[in-house]
Amino acid sequence: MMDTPIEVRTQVQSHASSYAFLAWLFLEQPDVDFVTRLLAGDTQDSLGSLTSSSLADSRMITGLQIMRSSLQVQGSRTIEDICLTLAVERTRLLRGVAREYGPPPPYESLYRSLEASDGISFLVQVAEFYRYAQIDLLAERADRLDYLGLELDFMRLLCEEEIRSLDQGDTDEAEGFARLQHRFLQEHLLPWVPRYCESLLSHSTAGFYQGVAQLLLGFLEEQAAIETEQRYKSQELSSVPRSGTGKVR
Amino acid sequence: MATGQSRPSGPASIIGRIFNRPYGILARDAGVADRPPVETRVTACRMCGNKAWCTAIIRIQDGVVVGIEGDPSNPVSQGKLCSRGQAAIFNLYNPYRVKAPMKRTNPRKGLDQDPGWVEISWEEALSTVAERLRKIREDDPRKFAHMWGFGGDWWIVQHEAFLPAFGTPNLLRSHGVLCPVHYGCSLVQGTMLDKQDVEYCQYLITIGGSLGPNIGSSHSTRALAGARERGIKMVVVDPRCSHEATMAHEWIPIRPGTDLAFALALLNVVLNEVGVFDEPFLKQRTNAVYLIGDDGYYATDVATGKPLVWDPMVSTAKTFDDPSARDFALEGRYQVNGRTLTTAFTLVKEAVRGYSPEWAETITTVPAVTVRRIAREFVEAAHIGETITLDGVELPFRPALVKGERGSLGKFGGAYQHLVHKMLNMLVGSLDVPGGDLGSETGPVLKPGADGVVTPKREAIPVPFKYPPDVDLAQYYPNRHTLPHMAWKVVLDPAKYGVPYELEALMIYGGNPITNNSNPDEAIAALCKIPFVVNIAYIYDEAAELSDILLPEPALFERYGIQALGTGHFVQAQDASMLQTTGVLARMPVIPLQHQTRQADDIYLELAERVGFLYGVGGLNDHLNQFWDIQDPYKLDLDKRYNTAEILDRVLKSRFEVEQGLEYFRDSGLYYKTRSKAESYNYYYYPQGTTRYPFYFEHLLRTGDTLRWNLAEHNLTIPGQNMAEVWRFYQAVPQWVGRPDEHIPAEYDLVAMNWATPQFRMNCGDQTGNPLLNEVVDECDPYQFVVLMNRETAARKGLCEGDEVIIEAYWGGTAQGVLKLTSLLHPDALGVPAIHGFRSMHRNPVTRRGPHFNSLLNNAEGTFDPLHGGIDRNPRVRVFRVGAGKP
Repeated sequence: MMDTPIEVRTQVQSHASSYAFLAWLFLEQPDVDFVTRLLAGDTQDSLGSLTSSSLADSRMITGLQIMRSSLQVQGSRTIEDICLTLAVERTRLLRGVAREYGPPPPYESLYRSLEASDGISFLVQVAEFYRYAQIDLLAERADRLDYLGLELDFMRLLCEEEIRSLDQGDTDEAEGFARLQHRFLQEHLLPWVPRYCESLLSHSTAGFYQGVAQLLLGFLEEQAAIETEQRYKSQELSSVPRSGTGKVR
Repeated sequence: MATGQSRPSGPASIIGRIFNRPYGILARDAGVADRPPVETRVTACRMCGNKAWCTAIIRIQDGVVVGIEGDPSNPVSQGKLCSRGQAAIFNLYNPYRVKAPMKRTNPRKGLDQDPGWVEISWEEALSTVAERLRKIREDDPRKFAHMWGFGGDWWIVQHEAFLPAFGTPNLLRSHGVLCPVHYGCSLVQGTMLDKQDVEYCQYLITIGGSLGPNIGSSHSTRALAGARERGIKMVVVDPRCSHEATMAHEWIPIRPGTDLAFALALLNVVLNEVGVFDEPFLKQRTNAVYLIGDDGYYATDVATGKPLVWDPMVSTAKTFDDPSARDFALEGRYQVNGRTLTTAFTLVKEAVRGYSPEWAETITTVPAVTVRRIAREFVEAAHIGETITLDGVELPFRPALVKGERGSLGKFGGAYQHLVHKMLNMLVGSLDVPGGDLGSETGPVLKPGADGVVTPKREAIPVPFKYPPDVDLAQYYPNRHTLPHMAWKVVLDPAKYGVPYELEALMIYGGNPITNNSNPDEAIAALCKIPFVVNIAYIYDEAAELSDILLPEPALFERYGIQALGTGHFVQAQDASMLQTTGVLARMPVIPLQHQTRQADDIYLELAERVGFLYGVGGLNDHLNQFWDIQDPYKLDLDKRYNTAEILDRVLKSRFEVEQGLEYFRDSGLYYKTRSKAESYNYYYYPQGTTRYPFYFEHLLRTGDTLRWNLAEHNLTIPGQNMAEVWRFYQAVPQWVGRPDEHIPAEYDLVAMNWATPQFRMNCGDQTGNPLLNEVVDECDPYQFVVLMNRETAARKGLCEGDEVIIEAYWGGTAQGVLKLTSLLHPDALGVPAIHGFRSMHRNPVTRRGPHFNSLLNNAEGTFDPLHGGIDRNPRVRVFRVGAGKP
């Protein structure tokens, strides 16, 4: 049954926030404000209430709990020290320093290079997708376009564009952005991110990034289960034109 | 439609609580749609890390490089691109690149220590570095040293501008200790390197080097292939039957490290047995006819100070440039004003008489009969007296030459070796003429000085003496190529070397002195001692792992670069297309930056501004104007802030006369002009009678005596050196200086040797870690990661193919590898190719395979050549099977 616009907007906003947070985890280092909030008592209360609810089995909840508890065991260390430890772990696990030092870094073409002799072709596909959606990135914050953080941020942007379209009353355009989300999820996140998360789990020694892996896995599982096309009306999903210009539909 | 909101629930509510901020990197930009989805760009390559002249076509799809191939419009590379260039796609998309500025969090340093890297912002990185440098500059700028290597060779904001502007003399180079191949050219031909005219050469003796194929130079290989088709005879003198030896007329196996004995014997045979040489050349175009006093110096005219010659037609001494001179005595002793003066030629002849082929055979194992035969063939092939007309200009035609390179020159006695090669070429008149040995730069470089001899340039100009010396002790080794090995000794014990300060900061760009020099543990100890090390890094190599701050640099096709067409190790054998082409290679980025990297030049400009030496007279802008000789209207305003692109544009317009400047290189990598054939030879600019080459090296003698005097003035000796041994290297006539390991136990019965390989030459851009290049090597080169031994030698030692062996140098350095047997190696040689066996825990693990040759090399005083500073590449070693114990 099609959701009401308010429900749709709320849902998409929630997705956007989650994508933004996940993108941030991969693009930035955990900072004092974040760690403080994660350790705050009301966060624990909220988590506690969820674990005793029907969402107790949610992988996302599990992930958030692991993230929090990994920081709690740090004892009397200052928040700044904790952030530094997390930054070192982040470099090892997320940024790609050396092959035996951490998991292969989360670049789609790297993980999917086993599927095709030319892994670079996946980088091209991602670049095409971004171009079709008229996406660019701030030069100062450059990373390879198939970096997981950017791919998650791309989803964040698509969600926000869907919300913007809804706010402007253009449900056709909103539906177009919803379709893009679905396609990108199916074609460029689900085929490899779970493998990366498994690798991240096996390489993590402290708990925080194990929690991140669980959170991400859980979120993508939930996203995969959503029937995006039901948000608006049932139509065949169109393919991304190879040289697309103009508005996204 | 209502656009209200309701509160998020479930995990989203938690996320909203802990991450309550807007965030996003990507944004929509309608302009993206206007970008062409598919494009090709033409740009300069340089994945080889050296001065090849290749340009490449880059195929780009949606901002992604999808293909790299050769550029057919390039008149020199002619559409060819070596495997390194084609593998550059992995240089760009290496997932283990340094992607952002990094700060070390583990204060303990060592290759066994995880630095604990964390990403920092560019602002934090630059402000940290700038603050350190500012304090040092205010205290004592000498406490800052900068090291560069070939990885940073195409930069615009050169270290030779940056360091003087900062105020430190401590410019170090990580490269060059194994390839000090410049002294002979600098002194004799006034150029940095030499090149070989294989368009016309018919007889080429190459000693310990590569003309192109051994190192995978596309254009020199093509040039040599063309020469073979024209019938060139190549004689390859090398312990190993290399690629080039297999295409040669003759391979002469020689015991490693003994090339000087071979060359001296060759010189002796030509001078004292064959007795045929280019007399007009020697008389009119060298200082062989100069009269020499007992002190070894030119006898000079009292009134003018000009060197004297003997005119046998009138039995009178005259100045070398006396227009009345009807002839010059090449040989003999003459009485002039109560002094007995001897022609330089006579002194040389007599000095080398003892170097008989039989004597040489005991050292080199090359049969005496072979030396005599080669000497005669060389002289006969030189066509002494013939001329050739090119573009209407008549030039001497001498299609025979002797050439040496790192294999023969990078050793104890290597500087003398280089001079002997030049002397051999002079005997047949084969310098800077068709078919012969050419200076690397073309133009009026043969301009003589007041003494009538080609003005010494580059490394033949001695570093002015001062005390205390600089950190690399260049003042004690004034003709050195590079001396990073001395710098590490000074860092570890400055008092011993008379340096009254300690280095407090080191900046490294494009170099790795730990793996590429010798005595790695000494370099490691030195880097660990220096309190602050900042590294402009591409990967987490050994030097990076010992640094405090990493500043990530762009990959090859992401950055600007410039390189004048000149001669490097990759462009030595040259055909007409190469000889006649002059110009400049340059590059602008062909794709956006893939990570948070910055052009190294912009880093230097930023640091100069923050530290306070960018502007004004004596600032970096001022030094850049001088270094690049930028003229009005392109001169940099001393008080204006430029970026790399702006400076590069001005350099191209002013220095290289590229009218469109940098814009020309938007879709091209090469700006070139074609000169005439005649203009391609430096003889054209200074023909017969207008200049003279040094056949007798009075300048070297003078350099040594000047050093001796300066040391005495300060009551000094060169720390660690036997000074009597040092002065042997500053004689006007090259001599046999022996081997530094002559008196070590006989159980070290093999001599190690090394050679560059096509895929891993220079190792710039992490060639050794590049998966494409590794794939090529694994499929095509079974001699890459092995220890090569002569089959009979192995049988004598009870060793077999596939044995894991330890190599131990006489001084203690070791390496380990798997044995491969061959008959194509001198029985006394032990071959260890390229550079392998890397140690950084954060390199591609594939780079750890294979033995690390450089660990066998020793840099102790008394073992390296004090003239060019190069380390001896041929240590005596012994070999034993792993687990078998030392013999």
